[in-house]
Amino acid sequence: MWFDGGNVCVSVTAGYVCVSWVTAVIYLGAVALVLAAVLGVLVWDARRTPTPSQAASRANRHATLASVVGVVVMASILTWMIGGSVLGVVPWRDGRVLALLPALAGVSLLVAQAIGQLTWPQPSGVVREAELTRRAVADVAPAWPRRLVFAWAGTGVLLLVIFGLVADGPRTMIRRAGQYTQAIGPYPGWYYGVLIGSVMVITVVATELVLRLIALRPAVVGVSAEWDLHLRRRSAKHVTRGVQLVLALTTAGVLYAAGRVHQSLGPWWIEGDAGGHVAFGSPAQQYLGTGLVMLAVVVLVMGLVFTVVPVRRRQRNRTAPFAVAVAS
Amino acid sequence: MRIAVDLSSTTPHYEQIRAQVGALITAGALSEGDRLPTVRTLAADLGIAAGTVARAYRELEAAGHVTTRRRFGTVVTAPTRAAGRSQDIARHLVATARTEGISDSDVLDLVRSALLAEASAHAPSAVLQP
Repeated sequence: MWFDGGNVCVSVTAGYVCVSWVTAVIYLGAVALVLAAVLGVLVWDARRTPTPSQAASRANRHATLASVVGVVVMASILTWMIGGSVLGVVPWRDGRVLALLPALAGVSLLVAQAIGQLTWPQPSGVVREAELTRRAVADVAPAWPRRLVFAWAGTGVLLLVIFGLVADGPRTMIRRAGQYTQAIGPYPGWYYGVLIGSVMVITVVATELVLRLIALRPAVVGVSAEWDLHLRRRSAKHVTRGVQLVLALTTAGVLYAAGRVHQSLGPWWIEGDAGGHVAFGSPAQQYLGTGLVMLAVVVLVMGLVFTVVPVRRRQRNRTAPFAVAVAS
Repeated sequence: MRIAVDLSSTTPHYEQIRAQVGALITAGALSEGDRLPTVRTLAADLGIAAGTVARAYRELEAAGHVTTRRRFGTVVTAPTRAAGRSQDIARHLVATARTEGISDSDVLDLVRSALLAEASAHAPSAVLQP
């Protein structure tokens, strides 16, 4: 990165791109704002958790650190992807890299959480205690964000299969005008679909594995079962909400790319041999494209809303989180 | 409902788990159909090897207290014993020991010695008089 007069220039694969100072400041300010908001929410969430013992404080810090690292890396990748695409300073040539960036952000969140659970403090002391109650993924994972993970991934894979079958080429649709044809892309055909679909499925499987790690990690010593369960649910909430967001982004991206191509297949005119204009294309394609683009926006907004909207968990015959918290 | 394992005790860890879970079943704290935590979960919470917990569960299964089924995990099968005279006497013994300040381990020693005396009384004389 270097400065050229009133511009900030960045090296990219195809050379370099320069943007104005104002644009750069707005972009960097937005990134800082997003990261600060994410950090603020996570730290606030951690601090409002009462810690009845030293072991509880340590466990709370450990869980918070895993979430903070994962969410900050995820937010950094997403803001870099969105900012780079908007400003045109994308350092990648292959569209598949852009398509996989949301999933990469989700995987970074999962890796951070997995490391956090695998390095969880082991029980120590001569006398060890344990609750004789069964603990499953369903007990720790919030129900509807977990369902959303499956829903977005299922929708995304289904759309990719449909677009793959509809596409005229691996990544294009063909626009025909009499004897002339023109390939229009990028369209989410098999060239993108196989890779994106596979990564979506892998992300869902990895999410379930990380939720399993959260359910199976050693219990915090010297606290009630409810307090321990609360900490597990907090980690599971961060995982499921983050992953549903990246899967929603991927699905929205697929819809948007397909919608733009279908819009291009709408009515258009070329100059005829005998003067005047000849119309080609179908209005239905344009309507379909516009519908897909609007659907992409809806999916994107839903993904963002479901990430931040608080949810009241239905009590499953369990006591309130801190009602019976005890010190060791 | 908690169980504890004393790592410094001479009693094997699996035996400590078996005895406590067995006692909870006998006392009715765990009833038929209750699901025990998985071997991995209990081992992780206690910070001991999974094989130790698995052995305790096997011993409980051999005694007919629990059964392990695929997908369902380990489930309590033994019906809770009806509160009979022996159970009342056992409770009375514990209450008396508490008032006399006798420790839990000494109470267990008392019961063991009574069991040994009973076994000796019924053993063949050739064994008692070598």
